[in-house]
Amino acid sequence: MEKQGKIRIIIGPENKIIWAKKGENLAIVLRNNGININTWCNFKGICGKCLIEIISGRGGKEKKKEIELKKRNNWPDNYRLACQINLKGDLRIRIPDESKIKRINVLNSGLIIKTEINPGIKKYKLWIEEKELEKESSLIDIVEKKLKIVKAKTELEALKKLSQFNFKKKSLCVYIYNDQDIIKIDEDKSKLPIYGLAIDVGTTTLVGEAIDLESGEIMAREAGFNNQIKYGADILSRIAYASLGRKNVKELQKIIINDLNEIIKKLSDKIKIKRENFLEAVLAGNTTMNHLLLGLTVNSLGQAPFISLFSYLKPIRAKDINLKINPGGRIFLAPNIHSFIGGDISAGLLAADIFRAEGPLAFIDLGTNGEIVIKKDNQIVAASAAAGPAFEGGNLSCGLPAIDGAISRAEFRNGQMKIGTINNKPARGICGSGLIDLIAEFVRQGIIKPDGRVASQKKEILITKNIVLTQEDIRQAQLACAAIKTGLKLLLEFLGLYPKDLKAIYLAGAFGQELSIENSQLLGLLPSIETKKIIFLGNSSLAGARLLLLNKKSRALLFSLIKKIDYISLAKNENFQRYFLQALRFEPWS
Amino acid sequence: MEKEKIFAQMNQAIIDGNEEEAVRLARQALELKLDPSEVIEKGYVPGIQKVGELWEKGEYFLPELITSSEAMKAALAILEPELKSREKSLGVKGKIVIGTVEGDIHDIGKNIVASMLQASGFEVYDLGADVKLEKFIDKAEEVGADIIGLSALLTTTMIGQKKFIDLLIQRQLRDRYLVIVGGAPVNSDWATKIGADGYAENAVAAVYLVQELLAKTKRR
Repeated sequence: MEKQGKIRIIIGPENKIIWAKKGENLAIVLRNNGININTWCNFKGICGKCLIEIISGRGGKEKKKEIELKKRNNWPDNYRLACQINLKGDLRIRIPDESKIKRINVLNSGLIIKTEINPGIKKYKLWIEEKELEKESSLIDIVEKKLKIVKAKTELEALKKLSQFNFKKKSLCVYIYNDQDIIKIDEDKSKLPIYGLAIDVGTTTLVGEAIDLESGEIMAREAGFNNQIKYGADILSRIAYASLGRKNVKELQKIIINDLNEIIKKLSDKIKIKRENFLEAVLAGNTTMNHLLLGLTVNSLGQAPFISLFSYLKPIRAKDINLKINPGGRIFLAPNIHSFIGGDISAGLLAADIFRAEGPLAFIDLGTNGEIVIKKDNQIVAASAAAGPAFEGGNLSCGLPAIDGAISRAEFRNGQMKIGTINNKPARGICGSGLIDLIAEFVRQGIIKPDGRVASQKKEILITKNIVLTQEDIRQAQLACAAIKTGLKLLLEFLGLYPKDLKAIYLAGAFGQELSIENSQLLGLLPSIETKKIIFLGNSSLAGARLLLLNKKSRALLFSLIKKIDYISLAKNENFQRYFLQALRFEPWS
Repeated sequence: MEKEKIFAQMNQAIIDGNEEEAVRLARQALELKLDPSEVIEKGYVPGIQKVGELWEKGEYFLPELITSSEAMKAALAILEPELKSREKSLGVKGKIVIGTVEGDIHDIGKNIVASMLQASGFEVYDLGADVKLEKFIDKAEEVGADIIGLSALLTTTMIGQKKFIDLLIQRQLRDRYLVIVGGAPVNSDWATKIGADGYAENAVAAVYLVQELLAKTKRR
């Protein structure tokens, strides 16, 4: 079998054949063909997690970084980093299991908060009498009258269904959205619950829940990848790709919608309910995801003055974006606050109940972009700090996200470094919380100096077999911690607050519960306030989406409150550089 | 002997990033009627070179780089006016216009590069952040620059570096300037792809790059 001008890649031992073009990146080709190869360092060639074995064919010249990495790990000559290979000719390869992403750990699905149950979708049971048919001119008029709705908007799909059955002899079930729109009419199945979906639309992963809208019960939870990752791990790479043309925007939209539909299908299979029975989905994603899933261009999000197309949007029809729930079902997007502070954060603020709680409060989402929101009385300010991917295991020679085998805890005891890994699997890398623990312990021991320098002549520290913390890794951690510290400090200053004034700091994001507060305080990532005031929220974006789904009053509350939030540009602050350079030191807040 | 001792102290002041001491020693050198050009070359330059080495070894990071280059700049500000005019023209190693490209408001990295270049004896014109591409050319023409340095800190704004080179070609000025690029999302592949003359990963590498590029052109 020959394909003109194409390169053939045979993947053993199954001998799966895939085709590629000359010059294409092997890791991207593999991903495009459904092989989820690790690219934790974002194609920088430093983490070594996309290692493959070349059985035959040429992988091309190796760069210095790859040669050094291979030497350090004693990898054989024919082992290569897939992300560093630009295809020149046919290849036969083997992909070790360790190089594939196996499953996603949904570490924590957010606080379960009690709420009044008042969903956007309501179900009414109707019985139509003979005499009513004589009095009114149309069936919808009868429905309107019975439900006391003026000029209902009726979905065509609902009418089609109505036309199919004999309404004289049966009672009907009418599903109304926002007390106004008739989105579904069915034979009376009043015993059937109504379902909705709450989905956290992350840059890397998606987590969705199927929820019974009458009881509020979470019926099922599923997670999946955001396959846009092949166009870059971080949000700016996606914007850059989308900015190259309409076609790319459409492609990114298609990918995210497919991924969402995949989750919806898994949820419907799990609870054995047809997808048509999901009548509303609340999506909480960052501003870029919100734009892309609607198929909107994002050029303005990637360039100063960084302006988004919308903050909040009236619910849209599921079929308008091809989301496979009931075609007349509604999609509600958690509102964006700013181009860098999206619906994931507004949902998170709702979950933390930050708007109603008393006293000065801070909310921090620790990720590649560290979003920080502080409330003082009626004033709310927000900023986005460019922490870089270190907290998520990116850009580190030893980095891993919080997956099986990632070192997530470390403690120096009896002259030895004791490490703990996720699911107690053999250690194969370090994730954010582990990085903080290790560095804090080494700082205590004097092995790492407060200025970030490794004290020994050899500028790296062996953690365990094959896992080394390099000087450069520590520098990345310094930059990440300093970005958050500087952002928090500037916002506090803006409001005239000291850290001790804060009644609570809510932490959301990649770290999960594993982050040591004490160690974070030692390094200056978090201010030295009473540890009980620092509260982990888990996946607050999902928790917020759930609240928005179950109680439509919370939507109005959120709309009115995000309007009050002032966005502060950190980079433009005159003290930014000075504070940032000071914050690079590993030391507690003074 | 006395002279050697002062030079060693100057050296140390730069390595320590001690601006006050660096300035004090520069003033003392003038009082002692030492030759300012010798003072710069033997007292201060080895200090900033050592700082570069310490950076490369991983001993120094950004705060140390900034304090040392600030100390160096402060000392140079005192000594340079005293150089004889002939020496002045010889003393300037090259002129560089630098800035962060339009659409990008981040400039710490660029500031550190500008500071190190200045500390290493180059004449640096820093245009700040979010700089219109035409403005780089206007400034370079005005001051007769040798090199134009463009920083971009976002994946979405690095395209500005390519646009700038295209603009230079369009205005038939490509041969007049050396163009160097840098910033977090930028790498040497990108620099090659867009036809830039060089890329540096950090401020210390930028100094070496500029020295190397200027040495090459002078040989030509």
